[in-house]
Amino acid sequence: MSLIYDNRPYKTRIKECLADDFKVAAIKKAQDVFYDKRNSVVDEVPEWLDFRAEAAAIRDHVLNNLDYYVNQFAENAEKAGSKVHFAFDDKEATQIALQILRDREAKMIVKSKTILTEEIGLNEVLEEAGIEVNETDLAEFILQTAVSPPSHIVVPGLHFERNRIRDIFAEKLGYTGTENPEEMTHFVRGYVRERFLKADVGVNGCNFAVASSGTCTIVSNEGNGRMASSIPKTQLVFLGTERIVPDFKALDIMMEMLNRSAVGSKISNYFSMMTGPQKPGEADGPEETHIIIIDNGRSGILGGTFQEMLRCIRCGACMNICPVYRHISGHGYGSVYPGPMGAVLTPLFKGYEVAGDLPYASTLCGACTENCPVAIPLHELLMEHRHIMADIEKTRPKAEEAIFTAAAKVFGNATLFDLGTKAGAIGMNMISNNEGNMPKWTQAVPVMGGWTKSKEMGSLKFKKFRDLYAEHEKNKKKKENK
Amino acid sequence: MKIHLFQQCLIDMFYPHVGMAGVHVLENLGCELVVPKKQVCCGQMFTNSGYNKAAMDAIKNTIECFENAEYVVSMSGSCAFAIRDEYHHFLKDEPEWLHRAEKLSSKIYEFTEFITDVLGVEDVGARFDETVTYHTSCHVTRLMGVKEPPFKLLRNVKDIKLIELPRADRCCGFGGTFSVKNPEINEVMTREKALEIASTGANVISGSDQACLMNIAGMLDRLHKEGAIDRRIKVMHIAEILNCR
Amino acid sequence: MDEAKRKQFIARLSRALGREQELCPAYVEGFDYSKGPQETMFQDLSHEQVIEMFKAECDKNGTKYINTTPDKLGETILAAIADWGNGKVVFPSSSEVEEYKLKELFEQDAKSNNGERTYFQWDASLGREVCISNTANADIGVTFPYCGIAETATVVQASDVESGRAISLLPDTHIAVVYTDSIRPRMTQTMEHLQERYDADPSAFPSNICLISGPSRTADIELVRVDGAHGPIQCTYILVDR
Repeated sequence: MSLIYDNRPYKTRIKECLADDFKVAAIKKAQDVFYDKRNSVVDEVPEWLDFRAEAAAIRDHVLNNLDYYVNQFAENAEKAGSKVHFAFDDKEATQIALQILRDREAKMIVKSKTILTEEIGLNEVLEEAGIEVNETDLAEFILQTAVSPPSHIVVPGLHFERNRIRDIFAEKLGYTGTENPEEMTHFVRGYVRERFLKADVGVNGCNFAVASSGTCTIVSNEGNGRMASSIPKTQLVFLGTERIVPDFKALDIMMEMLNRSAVGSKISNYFSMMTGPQKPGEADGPEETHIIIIDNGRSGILGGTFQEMLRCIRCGACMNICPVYRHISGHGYGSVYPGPMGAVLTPLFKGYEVAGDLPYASTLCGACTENCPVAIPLHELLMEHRHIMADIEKTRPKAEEAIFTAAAKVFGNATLFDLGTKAGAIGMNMISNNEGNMPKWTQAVPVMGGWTKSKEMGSLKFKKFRDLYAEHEKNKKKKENK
Repeated sequence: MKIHLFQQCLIDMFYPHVGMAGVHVLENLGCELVVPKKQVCCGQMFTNSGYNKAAMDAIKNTIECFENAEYVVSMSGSCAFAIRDEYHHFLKDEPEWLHRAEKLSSKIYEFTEFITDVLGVEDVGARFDETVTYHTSCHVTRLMGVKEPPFKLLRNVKDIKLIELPRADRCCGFGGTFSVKNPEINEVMTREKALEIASTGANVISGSDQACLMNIAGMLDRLHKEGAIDRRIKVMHIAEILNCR
Repeated sequence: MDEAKRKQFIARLSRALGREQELCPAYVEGFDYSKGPQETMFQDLSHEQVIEMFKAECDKNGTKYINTTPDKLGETILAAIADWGNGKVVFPSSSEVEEYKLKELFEQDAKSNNGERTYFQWDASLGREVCISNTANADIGVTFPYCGIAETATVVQASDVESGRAISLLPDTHIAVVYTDSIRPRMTQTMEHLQERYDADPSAFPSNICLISGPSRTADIELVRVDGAHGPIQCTYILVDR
C-alpha cells in the first residue's frame, strides 16, 4: 500500500462506496457506537476542555521546537541503546528497513499496527525482497488476508462482515469454524502466535516518542504491539517526525485524550513504554532496537499555514463523527488517511493534482473540529485548501472559476442581484411544474441537476423580500399619516 | 431599539415570507427596523468554495451596509457566523477593512439569540398548535455556540408540542455548494436527516437557518412524493412559528 | 546514528521553523504542566476511596480481583490459579517471591496436587529460547506489578532480568499481585514517578514498562468485543493490603 491506494477518480470511488449497502450500514453502526461511547467517557470528565487545551498546547510546544525535540529524542534513544536512523522520504525509510532486515538475513517479520508503514508502502518493498510480512492486528490481518485497503485508521476492517471474514479465512487459511467473532479471533490468535514465536524481526509504530528519555510507546488492545516488541530478537520502530512529546508527564495528557477520543474507552488494555532494547542479562525483549524517524513531507508542513495538522495523534475521532465519512467510508478518500484529517493531510503530502477533490468532501459542519482532542481546526484547514486551489494555485476547473466569479459579481451588488433574480424568477416560473417546483428534466442541467435529482426545488419569487418589505414600509407610513 | 436586519439572499429570493415573519416578530417586540436596500449576500457561498477573492465584493458590500448599525440581526445563522467569525480571516491583509469588519463583528446576532440575549425576551406571545421538531444547524449551534435561545423561545409558545430530534447535531448535508458539488453524498445525508425527522412523528420541522431548511424541505417533499414518508411535513423557519398567534 | 544525516535532518526542521541561521536551539524551556486539570483531579479522595475506584473500574471492565493480606498471599495465589482451571504456572524470580517464600510454597504444592498445577520459575540465565518457549507453554503467569492506577484499574508492570515481558503476555491467564498502598488515583502520578525514576538514573530505567488494564481484547470484527486477542485471555488482580 502507499499513501494513496486508489487512483481512480474521486466520483468513481464515492459512487462505489455509496452503493455498498453493507459497508454504509457498518460504518453508520460503528459511528453510532463510537458516538455514544465517546460521549459517555468524555462526559465523565468535566475538565475535558481544559485537557483538550492542554493537549493542543503540548503538541504546539513540541512542533514549535521540533528540531530540538527530535534531536533530544534521538540522543536519548541512542543513550538507551537504540539505533536511530533518519529518513527524508518513503523510499529512504523502506530502504533503511530493508537493509537492516537483509543484514540479519531476516525471512519473516511480524508487524503490529502502524499506518506510517502503510504511508511509506513498507510491506510491498519487503515482500518484493522475498520477506514474509505478517500483519498481526486482527483487522490488519483480515485486510492482508483479503487483500483489501483499510476503511478506518483505528478499526480498519469495519467494511467486512463476519460471514465474509469466515469465507476468506476458509478459502485462504483453511479455517473450518463458524462466523462467530470470538471463534475467529481465537483462530487468528493461534495462527499468528506461531509466527510471533518464529519471527526474526518485530515491526512497531510509535504513538508517542518521549524526547527526555528516548522512549517509544505503543497503545494497543490486542497485545500484538507487546508481542512484536517482546519476542523477536530485532525490533524496528517506525516513527513519524512529529509524534514526539517532551516527557513522561505529557503521556498522561495524551493518553487521556487518545483513548477516549479513539474508541470511547478510558484506556487501552496495554500501553507499552520501551526505552532501548533489553538490558544485559534480560532473557526476552529485542536484542537490538532500530528506530527510523521519517519526515516524508512533514517538514514541509511545519512552520506553515497547516502546521496545526501536525498536532494530529491519529485517534480517528474526526472520522468517527464526520457525516460525510459516515456515507463514503475510508474508501471514498482512497488514502490511508481518510476522513477530515485525511482530507487535510493527503493533499499536503501528495498535492492538489491527485488529492484536490478531498477538501471538498466536507460540508464544513465543524463536527470534526469540535471532536478533535488536540483542537485542530480541521474544517478551517479544509477551507484553506479550497482557497489555495481556487485563488492562489488556480487549479480548479476554468468553468467553475467562471461561474463563481460571475455569480460573486451579482451577489455583491444589489442592482445586479435585482436584475438577475428577476430574470431568474421569470425563467423558473415558466418551467416550473404545477406544484411550483422544478420539473424532472432539470435533473440533466449542470449544477441545478445536482439538486433536483434528489430534492424538490421551488422557483425564485417574483416579489422578493426586499419588495415585500418596501410595501410593508409604505403601508406603515400610510397608517401613520392617517 | 433600532436594529438593522440582514435578510439573507436565500430568504430574499426564495422565502420572502420568512423575512416578513421576522420583521413582524421583531416589530412586535418593539424594534425599529432598518433594512438596507444595498444588502445582498454575506459572501459565504464563495468563501466556502475557496473563492475568497471573488467574495470580496459581497463581503465589503455587507460591511458597508451594516457597519454603522447599533445592532444587526441576521435571519439565518450561517450568515451571522460568517460575518461575525470569518470576515476577519478573509480580510487579514487589508487592515482598514479588517478594522471595519471587527467593528461589525461585535454587533451582529443570530435572530433567536438577539431576542433572548439582547432583548431579554423568552416569550414572544406566540401560539402554535402543532407537533414540532427542531433542526439545530451546525453553524448556529456548533460554530456560533447559540444552543439554548431557539428552545427557550419555542418552549414558551402556547400549545406547541416540541419533540426532540434524534442526533440533531448531525449535519443535514447542505454545506453550501457542497450540495451541488457532491450531490450524491448530499442526497444520502439529507435523506437520513429527513427520515429521522419523519420518525419523530412531528408535522413541522423548524430551524433558524433557511439554507438547511431549504435542503431538508426539498428532500421531505421528494420523499413524500415517492411515498417514503407518509405525510407532508411542513418546514418553517422559527420566525414563522414565533409570528403565529 | 549517522551524524551527518542527523544534522541534515534536524537542519531541515530548523529551517522550516525559521530558526536564526537555521540553528537548532541548545535549550528549550520545558512545558509547564502546573495549570493542567490533571494536577488537581481526585486530590480530595481518601486512600480508601481510591481503592474503591480501582475495584469499581475492575467490575466495569470485567476484571477479577481478590483482596488479601500478606500472610494469606500464598494461598490466595493458589486459589486464583485453581479458579482459572490450574495448569502450568510461570512466575518470576523477583524479590516478592523470596519475601513470601512462594517458590517453596509452589514446590510444596507441586508435590501434593497430583499434577494439577506445575510450576516454572523465570530464570534469565537459561537464555532466550528456553524462557520464551517455556512461558509460551505455560497456562498461567504470575507477576508483581510495582503500582496501580485507580481511575482505569491499571497495573504497571516493569520488565527486568528477574521478570521478563513474556510472563504477563504469553500465558492465557495473567495473575497480577499488587499492593493496595501502591495504587494512586491517576496516570498522572505514575508518569510523575517514571520521570523521577528516569531522571534519578537513566541507565537503571527499565527497558520495558507496560500499563496493563485487564486481558487482551479486540473488537475488530463488527465491533463485537472479544477477550483474548494476542495476549492473555483472562486475568485476576490480587490486591494485597499490607
